[in-house]
Amino acid sequence: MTFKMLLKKIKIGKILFHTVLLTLSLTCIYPLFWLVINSVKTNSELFNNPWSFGASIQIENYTTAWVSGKIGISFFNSTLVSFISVIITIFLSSTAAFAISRLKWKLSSFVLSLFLLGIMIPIHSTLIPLFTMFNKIGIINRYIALILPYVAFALPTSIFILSGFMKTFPSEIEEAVIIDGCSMAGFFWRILFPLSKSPIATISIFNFVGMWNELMFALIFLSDPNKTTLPVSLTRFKGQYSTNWTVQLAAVVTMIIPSITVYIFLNDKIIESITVGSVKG
Amino acid sequence: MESMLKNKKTILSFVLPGLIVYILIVIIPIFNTIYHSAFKWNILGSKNFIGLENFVNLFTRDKIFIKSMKNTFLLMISSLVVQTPLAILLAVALSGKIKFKRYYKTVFFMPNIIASVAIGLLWTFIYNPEFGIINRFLEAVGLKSLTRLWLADVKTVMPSIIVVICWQFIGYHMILYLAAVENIPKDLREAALIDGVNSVKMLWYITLPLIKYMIGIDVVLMATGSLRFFDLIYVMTNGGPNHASEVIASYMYYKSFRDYQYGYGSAVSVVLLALCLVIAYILQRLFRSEKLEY
Repeated sequence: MTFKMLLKKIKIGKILFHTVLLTLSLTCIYPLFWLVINSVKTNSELFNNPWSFGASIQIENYTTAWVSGKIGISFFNSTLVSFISVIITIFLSSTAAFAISRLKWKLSSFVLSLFLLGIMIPIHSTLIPLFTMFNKIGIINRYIALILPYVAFALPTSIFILSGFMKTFPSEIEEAVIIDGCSMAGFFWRILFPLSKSPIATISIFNFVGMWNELMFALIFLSDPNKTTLPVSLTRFKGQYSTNWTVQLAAVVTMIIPSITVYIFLNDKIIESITVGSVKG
Repeated sequence: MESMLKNKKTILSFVLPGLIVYILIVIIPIFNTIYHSAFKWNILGSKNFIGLENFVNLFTRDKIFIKSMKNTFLLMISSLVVQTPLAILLAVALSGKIKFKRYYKTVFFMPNIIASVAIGLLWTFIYNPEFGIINRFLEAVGLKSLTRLWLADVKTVMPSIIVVICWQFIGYHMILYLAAVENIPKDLREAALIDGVNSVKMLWYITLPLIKYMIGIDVVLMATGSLRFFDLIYVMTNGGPNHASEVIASYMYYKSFRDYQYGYGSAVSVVLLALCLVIAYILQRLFRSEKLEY
């Protein structure tokens, strides 16, 4: 085989290789593209030809979904609940991780394994007791009923990642800071916490994506249409607009767009956070 | 210094807030669920101790529960059989220096950041018998006889759901394997290439053994993930038609929050919890292998 033939062979192989990968990547993208173009059509256009673009852009589908379908309110609720839950998770998990990884006490490894056990526990096994408990103290249909379980179930993985990071922090610096007259709490808040920026970003992204997309807790603890989150609102759409398909499509697009927009800008960090979060756990 | 590290007040003030929330919301409810699984307890509040009767009923009389167990294991096994090899192949294909690598990675992973609820709805549109593109496509290429009511037909509902699960998660598993494959030292592969090893042999004798630890991690993730499956099922079929696509989690939801049989629902979730722990333990032992250091 001459050098030229070899080159040609490699080229054909490469073209074939990229054709396969490109086709696969289109199977990921096309359904979303299809969803978007049909979400701005009329119902009859959708039924006549689901492949083509509509004659005009039906923005009404979105306004209907946003206002009368309560997608707007749910959007706000989802953002609020996820945001508050992530903030609380950051504080509770970083303080606990600090106590577990750097302070010296007998039960620290036991407490760590107790937290790690949580990674294996399915949320389903806590639903009924939490529901009856929340009912008794009257917080069903309040944001707190969702924030509490979101935080509690975010702690295991977050503590695992953070304590792994904090363990590696050089103790010489810690000693120097303490000798300079800083308290343990001062050392944590002023030195260690700010230096843990990277793992804190990781757990924030990991948890935010999970909370923003969560369905089961929200379905049970926050079912009030004015309080509930996007995933629950979307499931209700099916019944509410059962014949008005394009409004349903528009609602789904509304849920997908923020995720994809953020993902386009932060894809590397998001991929890393989500995979690190579950592999470590 | 030592005394500051052992200061009880500091330790408690740091660990207690998180620990209390965790114990109240996760640990105590688990024991509560196990306790309540021994009761006949419905919405009216009458609570009667019946021992293991709920469990006996589940496994001997409840055909829907048996069906949901079967479906759950079907999801688990199909995920393992279909997704693992494809994810590994994709990872190997994308490893090293290739063109458009970042584009492929980003696109394949993308379905994972979208809510399962949104993906479930998107695919109910795609499967829709009237405007959905699957039936429309089959009609267009002259295969009208193959069109189905995909999600409303007892025979096609599970395969249809499995397709969606693969679509959503293959990219995720691919990323895990990609990291493992790229961890293999270059000189190892180069040495094999010089020895004239072809790519199939390279995959079988070099790549696979060296990413075995990741296969172990991934299999546990897939298995416990499949056991917890709920969102897609709830949105796409709600367990139907006629419970044909019921899984353990959706059945637990149905019994507890539609039938309001809290005792029975608790028993179902105890089974789910036990399966999660036992299967994770077994798989971890099965795939136990040290992460290699080079």
